[in-house]
Amino acid sequence: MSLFEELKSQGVDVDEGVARVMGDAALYETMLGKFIDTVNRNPVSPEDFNTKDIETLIERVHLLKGFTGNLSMNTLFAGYTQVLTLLRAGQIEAARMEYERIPAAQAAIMDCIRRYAGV
Amino acid sequence: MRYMHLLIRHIHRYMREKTGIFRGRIGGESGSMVELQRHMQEDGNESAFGTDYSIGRTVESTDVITDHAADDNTAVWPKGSPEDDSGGVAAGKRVLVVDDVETNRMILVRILSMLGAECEEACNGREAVEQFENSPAGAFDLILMDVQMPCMDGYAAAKAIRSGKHPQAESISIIAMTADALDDDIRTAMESGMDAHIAKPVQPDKMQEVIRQVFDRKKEREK
Repeated sequence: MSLFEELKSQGVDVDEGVARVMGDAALYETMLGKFIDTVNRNPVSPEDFNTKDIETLIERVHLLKGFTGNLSMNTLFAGYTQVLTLLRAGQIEAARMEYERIPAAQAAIMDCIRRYAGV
Repeated sequence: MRYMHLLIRHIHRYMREKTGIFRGRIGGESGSMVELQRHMQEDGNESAFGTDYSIGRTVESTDVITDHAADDNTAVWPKGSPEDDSGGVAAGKRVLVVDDVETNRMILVRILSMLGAECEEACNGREAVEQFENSPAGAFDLILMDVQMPCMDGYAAAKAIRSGKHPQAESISIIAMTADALDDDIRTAMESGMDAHIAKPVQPDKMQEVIRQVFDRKKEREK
């Protein structure tokens, strides 16, 4: 199975993502590598929802929402969109509960990218 | 002209692959061109532009460039792209791409390049206002403005541009890019002086359509 095929099996709409960069599959792969880097540099954990620094949390979720949307990682995008909406509405506990659905799916996608792209 | 579009696209691709992102206008900085040439030589592509390629020099190796174009037939060319003899919707246009997220800029520059545009980039609203204010008249035809950015958001930046002293302060086309295409977002974008709105994540077809509409409306106003 190729990287793209496995990502598709993880619910990533690779065809839409590649189309977004005008068919440039190499650029899409580059962006997958940057996704790993971005997640690592902007960690989000359930504990972050208990801190007072909600602004930083919102910034990180906003960034990850945009990134996953661009890459058409639709499950993650939907999850981050919901988390962000709840955070902005001040519903922190609901946002935390929504967020808990994300890490496993995100880890699976990141693992897939690491294995195939060597990043 | 057809070959120049292909050349520009190749330059964009090489700079993006080698540096992660292409910044600045084609031919704008000699350093960039020297770096480009070095990368191409390392990759065994020196014949594409000739070893003495430099800024302002007319590209003569069109046959070689054509060969490169033939290699790219697998790419998806949108209708109206520079590869279409009718010219891209943004062919020859100069666009200021404003977004705080690098990958968003990468995507936007990629799409716009394919539509024939030359791009410059700004990382937030304040930077965009400064770049626009310091540019000569006619330097930009369009500003693609993200809304949620640090330092200065897109709404404030659009207002600052419209109320500035630049000769194009009132006429420059500004398109807002927002993550949520809610009525309030669109209304706020219009109230801050923007001409149109694109929802993120950006879809190339939609972007092409909106750019076409904005330029068509501007043409109508100028008649």
